[in-house]
Amino acid sequence: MVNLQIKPNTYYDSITLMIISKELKKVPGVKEALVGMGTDLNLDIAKVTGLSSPELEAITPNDFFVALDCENEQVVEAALKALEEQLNKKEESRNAAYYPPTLTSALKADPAINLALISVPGRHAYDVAKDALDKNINVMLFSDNVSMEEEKKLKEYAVSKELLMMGPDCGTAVVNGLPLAFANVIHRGPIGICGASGTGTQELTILIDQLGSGITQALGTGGRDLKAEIGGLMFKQCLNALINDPETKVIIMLSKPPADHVAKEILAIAKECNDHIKPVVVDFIGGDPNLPKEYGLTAAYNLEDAARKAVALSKGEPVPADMIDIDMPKAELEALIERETAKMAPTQKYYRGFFSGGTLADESMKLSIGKLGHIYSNIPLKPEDKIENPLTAEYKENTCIDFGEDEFTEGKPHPMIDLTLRCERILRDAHDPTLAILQCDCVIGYGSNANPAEELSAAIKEAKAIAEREGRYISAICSIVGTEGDPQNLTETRKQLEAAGAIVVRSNAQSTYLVHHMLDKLNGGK
Amino acid sequence: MKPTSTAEAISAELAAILPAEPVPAAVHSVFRTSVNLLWQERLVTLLDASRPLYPFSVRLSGALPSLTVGEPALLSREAVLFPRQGVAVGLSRAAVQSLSLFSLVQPLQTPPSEALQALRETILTHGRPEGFAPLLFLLEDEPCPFPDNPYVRYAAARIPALITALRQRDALAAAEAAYSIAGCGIGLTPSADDFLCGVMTALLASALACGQERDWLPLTDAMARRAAPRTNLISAAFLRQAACGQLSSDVLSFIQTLYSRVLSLRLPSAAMNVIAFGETSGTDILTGIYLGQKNFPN
Repeated sequence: MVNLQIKPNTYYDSITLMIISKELKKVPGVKEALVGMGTDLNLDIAKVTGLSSPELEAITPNDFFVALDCENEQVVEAALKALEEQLNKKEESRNAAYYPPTLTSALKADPAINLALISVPGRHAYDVAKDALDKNINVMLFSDNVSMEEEKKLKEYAVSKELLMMGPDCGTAVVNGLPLAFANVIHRGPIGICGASGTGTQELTILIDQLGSGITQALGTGGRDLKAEIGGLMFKQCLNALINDPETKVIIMLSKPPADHVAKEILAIAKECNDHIKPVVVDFIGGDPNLPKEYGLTAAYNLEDAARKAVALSKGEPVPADMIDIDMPKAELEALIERETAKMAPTQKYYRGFFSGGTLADESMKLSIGKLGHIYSNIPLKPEDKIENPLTAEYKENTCIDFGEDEFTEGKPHPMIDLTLRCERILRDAHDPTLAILQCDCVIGYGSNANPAEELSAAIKEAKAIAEREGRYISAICSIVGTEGDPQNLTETRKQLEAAGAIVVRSNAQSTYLVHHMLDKLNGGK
Repeated sequence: MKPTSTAEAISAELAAILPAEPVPAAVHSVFRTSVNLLWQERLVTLLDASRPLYPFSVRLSGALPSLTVGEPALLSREAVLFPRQGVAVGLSRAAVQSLSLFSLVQPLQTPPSEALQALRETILTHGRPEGFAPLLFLLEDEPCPFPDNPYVRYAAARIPALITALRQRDALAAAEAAYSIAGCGIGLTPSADDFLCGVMTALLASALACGQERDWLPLTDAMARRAAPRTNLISAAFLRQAACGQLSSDVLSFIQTLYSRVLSLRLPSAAMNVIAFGETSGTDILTGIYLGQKNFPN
């Protein structure tokens, strides 16, 4: 049955008309719904669509009309109720159903918007980010392939307007409790993070969460911010924001070792803060811990160490001892090592670290470099350890691979989303008679694969089976970047990995320390 | 009455015709970011600070006053007054901005094929498919990935006649073709009208690029004259303005970006500013520009 509603000389904006049309079509029993201005052609189309009604003849182009074809009277009533609800709805709730195609239309829908997450091809990123800053909107720039010159211009402009310009290549942030891009569900708490490292920041936040604390903000700056060319423009901006944030009781500064003069500048700011306002923990991944100590700051030796120290400081407790080894009772550790190495063949002497998180690969290598000699990699710590063409190359001895690097992601999603290449490589290297230990991260949370443990577990299980068929045993050691609140769930992820025979430890650092102990045993050490 | 708010910009076309002494007008329609006033048979638009400037419009430096449909207004070169509310919008400090295609300082040039391709990609990637964007497939006899839409199917059967008319520079046939689709589509400004605005814009920009604007103005004028009575007052105003090269500032800057000798990297962002207009309107305008340029006779 056809029902016609007319509002003479009434104008609604197009967004409202579109939402009304969509909502009416959702009402069960509504076969067709036409919404629009009463132009001749729209009325013709209404007739052609079987929505003819005598009242149609009276409509003018300046009238708003809704023509409904409903199964029965009850459906008409329900549809008219839905129509009234839509017309009377407050703007806020209309906005909730609206997905704006551009920043300008988003601002039209909600002028209070003050942060834009931008993910467009790198060559357009500058313009889009500049446009957002022009509109006084803070920016999180997920895009990469932005030149150093453009990054500097954007950051100088942001600083002049007292705005944040996080990125480019900023993969994670948590702002006012809102996880952005690759991020986890983290409890709110007293710790603020200023990080020039994506997965490093992510791992810090989840460790803080697992230690029973939480964060105020996790602000990313992009990995190049502390290079001499950029001069830490955004790191300083973010640091000042956290210093001035009354909710933040402790600050963690996280980055690879900055350029010398940049390090001095940010450490001086941190010292002022630490001496007079709130404590600051510093993790310059792989850097000299004595440098922050010279400024009176709390130095961390790895990401978990930083999390532990920050949590203790936030509770007013004494700073715990440096965490420089696996946190496991000695007897339990020895039994674990004995169990894992007993079935290995004499040829098995080396480990492979296969990471989806670049910072985690970097941290693992830096914790190992003094102990394991050469660590071959696509992101090597020494130029002579560089693996060319890592996609196809044969890996040898101790090797650590960041699967998030460009050579693996060209034309493919990031390995946190698509685990194919990493799993293929696990199976390929399972045939290597020298391989003893497989070290992997497993990143869950928003943005990541819906169940990365499923694919990773299958690969680990198959790798172990390959080794067994060839008379060997491969040990798999994993750490999970995730929380119980994540959609994939920490416990569920751990269960899947353990069911595949993997040893799951709390952090990337603990995973690396366990690798050290096992290699010591295999190579005749302590 | 002292000004209670100020305008930051006014279109040159409006500034030129506003009288020195106040004349009566009335609030015609009220939206979140714009208000239309009916003055004689013309619409004058007040825009809030978030909007680009339109022909015959005034952009305020902040939010719009709270107004109701039908309430009286007084218009003059000095101010827009709303006596019932005690509100006055001062115009004396507003920057006068020309929005005419014919006032551009930088000459337009026929765009390279890569630029048109980039426009098509931007429409398909960022545009709203619920309006006339499916024409990009339907007119090429390609399978359309967008949801079914009775308005665009209706228009798709009639647009080939418009294309033929344009290729033959036949003003009468173009006007009839415009008439056959005017007012068709969802939205405050029906999709067909936005599409026609885009087509006329591309025709005039292309004509300017090759020095033939005098030849094409009669054709766009004929299209708008025939199409405008078939649609509502607001949409008709846009059609008449587009027919004589008067455009909103975002469309104008997009045209400057598109009609340059080389493909500009700014093209997608300029196109996205147009897409932001209305719900499907911006996308429909760009679809019209794309097809208008593609079918402009060499």
